[in-house]
Amino acid sequence: MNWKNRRKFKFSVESRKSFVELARKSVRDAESDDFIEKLRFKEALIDSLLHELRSINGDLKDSLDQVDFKTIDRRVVDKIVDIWAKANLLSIRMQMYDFEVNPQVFAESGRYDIPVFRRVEKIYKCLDKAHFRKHIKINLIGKSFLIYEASDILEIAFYIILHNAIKYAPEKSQIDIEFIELGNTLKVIFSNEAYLPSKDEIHKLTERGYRGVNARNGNISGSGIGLYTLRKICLYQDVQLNINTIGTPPLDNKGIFKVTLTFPSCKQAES
Amino acid sequence: MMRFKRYTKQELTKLSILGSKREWRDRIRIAIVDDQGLSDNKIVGLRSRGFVIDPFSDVENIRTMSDYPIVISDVVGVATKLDSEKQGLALITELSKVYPFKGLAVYSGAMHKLPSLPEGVIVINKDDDLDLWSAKIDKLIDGVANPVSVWNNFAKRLIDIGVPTIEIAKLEDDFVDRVINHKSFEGFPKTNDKITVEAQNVITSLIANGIFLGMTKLLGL
Repeated sequence: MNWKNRRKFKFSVESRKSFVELARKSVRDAESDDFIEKLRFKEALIDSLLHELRSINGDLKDSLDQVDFKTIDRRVVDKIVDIWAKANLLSIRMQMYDFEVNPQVFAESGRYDIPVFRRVEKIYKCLDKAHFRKHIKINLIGKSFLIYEASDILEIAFYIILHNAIKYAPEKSQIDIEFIELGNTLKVIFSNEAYLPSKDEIHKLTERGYRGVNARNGNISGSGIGLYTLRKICLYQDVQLNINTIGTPPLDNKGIFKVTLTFPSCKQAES
Repeated sequence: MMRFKRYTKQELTKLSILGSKREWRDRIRIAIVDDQGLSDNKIVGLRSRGFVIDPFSDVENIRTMSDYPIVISDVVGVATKLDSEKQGLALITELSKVYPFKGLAVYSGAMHKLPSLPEGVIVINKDDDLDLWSAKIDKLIDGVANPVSVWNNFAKRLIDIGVPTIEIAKLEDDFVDRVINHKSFEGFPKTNDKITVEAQNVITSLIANGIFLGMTKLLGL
């Protein structure tokens, strides 16, 4: 065995040893009452924190609802809209946690009528600051008054797609959101310029923890959770999800990344 | 007088007497159970959007909710006498058993801890804004008051208890006739020898448990 291989071997034995030690220690810890008590305490802290955050955020939104926009200066209106956007983003982030920890409750809880166009518009306004910072232009193409029966997590789906689009799109580029009605079916197509994943990678993008090679090489932060959560939401809400690209990586490193959501059996909104 | 025209539920979809769904809001009373009370802003906001809200700080006996087509309850701090552990969830679960046709919702600040809920129960987040509250309550009103939803729900139960299709068609005619001609639901359904006594009893209990409560309030019958 040469010197390099001996080092590798030693390293692997040591790391295996330390791994086994760690595993033994965590089993010992897990068995101890003290450890369980600490876990319970942490859980109670998170519960109480989330509960309090929701109440405060709810009060904040109620107060914003009382503002009479006709009586205030335009610059103040912009500030208030910004606070409204942040409050809504906070709600979405907390809901992502709820969905990750307790997805079943979203599958079972009663659905209600969601005007898809208005909800997408709301999320894009909430992310206003993010795309402004990168000078990205968002175009809403077409309009739709169709409503789809779903639960709150649908908003998380729109948030994930738009947040990703803004993150991966280059500065001064544009994001298109197109609404196409086909009878009572609504297609919403989000497309943005991005470093493309290879064709083999596309189906892996919705696996938990997977990140495209180009995204990793481009030093764009991420944890590979977004598209996995998106796939799960679409599954729970009976929405069809399609991800595809226009371009031929690695020849064209950049191309168009497209996410299409298809909402079947929509209803017309009451005029 | 003998009537030759037979009504079907299709006629209900063309009803103009119902008005727009926004107009339904002031005809259906909603009980909101919360030991700390909803914020004033929320109550004012919901009332200004046309909803009729009656706040309750607690419910000791679910019968006190019998006259409300819609009940929305906080999860923590209410109905502790009913179940000190499950509290608001116990209230909603019990209501769904005794009055299966009420529109029910829980509002919670801890969605990540909610257990399974009875079918159709809507979840309202503590930080939902007034638009979301309104959309969710509108959905509940539609479920309990829209004659089409009420008939579909009723017909489903009739099929479940084995009422023959021809008799369901007769009940449908009677139901639609009363709705579109603004007749009282007293004495519904008309006595019918073809329906077994057991089925007749189930129908009576469905009505007693409020299957028509929201709709008759909406129509003012």
